[in-house]
Amino acid sequence: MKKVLAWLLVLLMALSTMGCSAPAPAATEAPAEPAAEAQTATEAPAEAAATEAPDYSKLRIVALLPGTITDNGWNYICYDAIKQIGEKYGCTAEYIENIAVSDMGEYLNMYGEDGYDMVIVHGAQFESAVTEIAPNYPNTKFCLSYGFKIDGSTDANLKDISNLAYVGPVGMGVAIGGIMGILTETDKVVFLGGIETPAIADIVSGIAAGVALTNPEATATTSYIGTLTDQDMAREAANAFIAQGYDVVCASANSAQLGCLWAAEDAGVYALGFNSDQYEIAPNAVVLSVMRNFSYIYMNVFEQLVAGNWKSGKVAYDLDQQGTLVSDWHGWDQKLPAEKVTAINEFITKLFAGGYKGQY
Amino acid sequence: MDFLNTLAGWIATDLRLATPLLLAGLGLVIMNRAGILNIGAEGTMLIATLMAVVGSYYSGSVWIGMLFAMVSGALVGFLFSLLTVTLRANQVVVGAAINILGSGLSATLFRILFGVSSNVPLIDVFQPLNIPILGDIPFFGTAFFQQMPVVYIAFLMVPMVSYYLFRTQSGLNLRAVGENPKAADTLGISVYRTQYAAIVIGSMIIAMGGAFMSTGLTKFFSEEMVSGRGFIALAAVIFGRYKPRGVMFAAIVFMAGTVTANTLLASSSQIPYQFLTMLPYILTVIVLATFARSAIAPASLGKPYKRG
Repeated sequence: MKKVLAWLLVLLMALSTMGCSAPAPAATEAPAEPAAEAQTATEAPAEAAATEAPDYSKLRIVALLPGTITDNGWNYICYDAIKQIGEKYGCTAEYIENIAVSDMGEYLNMYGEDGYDMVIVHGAQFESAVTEIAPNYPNTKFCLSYGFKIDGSTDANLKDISNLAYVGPVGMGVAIGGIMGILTETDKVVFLGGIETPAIADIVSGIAAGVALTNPEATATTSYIGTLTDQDMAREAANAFIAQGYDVVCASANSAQLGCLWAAEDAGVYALGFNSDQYEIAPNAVVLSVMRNFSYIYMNVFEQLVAGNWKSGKVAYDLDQQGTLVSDWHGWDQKLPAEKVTAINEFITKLFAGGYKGQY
Repeated sequence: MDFLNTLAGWIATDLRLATPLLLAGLGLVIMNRAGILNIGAEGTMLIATLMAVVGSYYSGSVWIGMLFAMVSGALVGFLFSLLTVTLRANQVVVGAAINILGSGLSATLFRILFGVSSNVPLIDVFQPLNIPILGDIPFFGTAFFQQMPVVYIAFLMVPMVSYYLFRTQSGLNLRAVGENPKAADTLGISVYRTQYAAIVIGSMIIAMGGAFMSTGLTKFFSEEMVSGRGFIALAAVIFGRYKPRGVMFAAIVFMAGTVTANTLLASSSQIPYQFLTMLPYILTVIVLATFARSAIAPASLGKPYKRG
């Protein structure tokens, strides 16, 4: 009886862990099997589409993510993008979460062998794996989600492989910095990165330049808090800056950045949301959110693939190419001083129309 | 005066951050004293962070959330007892399993209950409670008496647990079980019942620490949000030499490094941030090396007891 009970409990535990990472079948054992356990977001295309539009249901794409899709940040936006592609085109759109850098090669081999049409590798930390493996599977298009620094210094790292694209928005940091520069009363603004990965360092690279465009007097501080999950730490780090007189806070640290927004709300200073519209997380602090528009970017990349125009190499989406979005005001345009609202609106319009090009 | 204000804020932050560690540490001390080695505090806390949010979300009261978390802690504790006390499984292995269970279960339940979105629902959370008169004292008021209720509870529990363990008959029985279960058994103390009680109650206290993280320090659940505090609590217990007061001291010292690093990070110093994120750990090592005398663990810690 005791033994049976023990085994039942062990089974229960084993089952409960499965949900967290949704691992694909072991790559070595069954490379030909489609990833049955991975979540699919497949949907039958609309009936009308079947008659006129080509059938995309044979296409298969997968996103390989470094973290969980509930991180309110980097992984969530990719999940959201791939879900939308699956819903719109009815193709097989899958994702795998929590992939360690050391395991990425296995996954790439698996999906390459399996003949997937497009593989999104979500994070520049996987660069060496994808540059090594992509040439082995010329029929699969690999997209590496990338962060481009505004000074172009990251371009030197790109490798020329015919089925590998480096995909990402560029210039978000400038938009964030510019808005922060206008908002600040104390002339001190801070942007906190989670950890120094290319997809966060690219934003950091634009902050000071953005602040300089709208408020050359202001101090623009950027730093890293060393965590992507620890909201308490992030909150206390933001508190420490607020105590020093910083009155506009923005952060890019996945779920940890929520702590920064809450710190701003409790202290009564401004915050900017990032990655997705974060107004509702701290409605009394989040004035605007600057959003990394991966939904549009990957939809666009997919459509190019379908149309036969897929491009390798650097595929950057500039501010005037919808790579970045700014959220709705959610009523803040009534609460802020009118001149700030006007200044921000003008800044965004000019920046997104390419009016500052060459200045940053 | 400005310095005093900064210092008061520094102390207040330190105490607030130390609270989850302290609660987890106290729960572990009770178990360790009964001879149970539980490395599953991280998983227990993770489940509690979610259950606190769930309770608060559905009931609208953060205290119900705390209750939910404690019940979840009791259930996890019961599972742990069943496996380690009744079935005499290896405590370290089961503890590790509890951590994996906590990580997977909390993530899965969270997605079932709240779905995958970038929205965060508004829930009731703990608010700072300004103690009348005491809270108005300059410096001391800001530092000690404008905290959230759970902080007061956690620090009040230190003398309570201490009194229980070292001044009551039941506490003596519990310690006897941890030192020499066979002798305790021959004296008529029920070893299994004592260990069950210690694990269940200890796990409930650990769960309180988790609940405070998601409904006090922050305002919602996110996956893996405990970020290793369950393991730091293990170190705090050893550093605190299996005594509640020692655990309190350890928790405060461990978190002081973090608070200091944040202050330095923000005060426009030229220290590279990489060094500052290391600082809490370096400080901990230095303090450990300076102050730690050898901790003597309960003699039968981690050894399953077989009657007869």
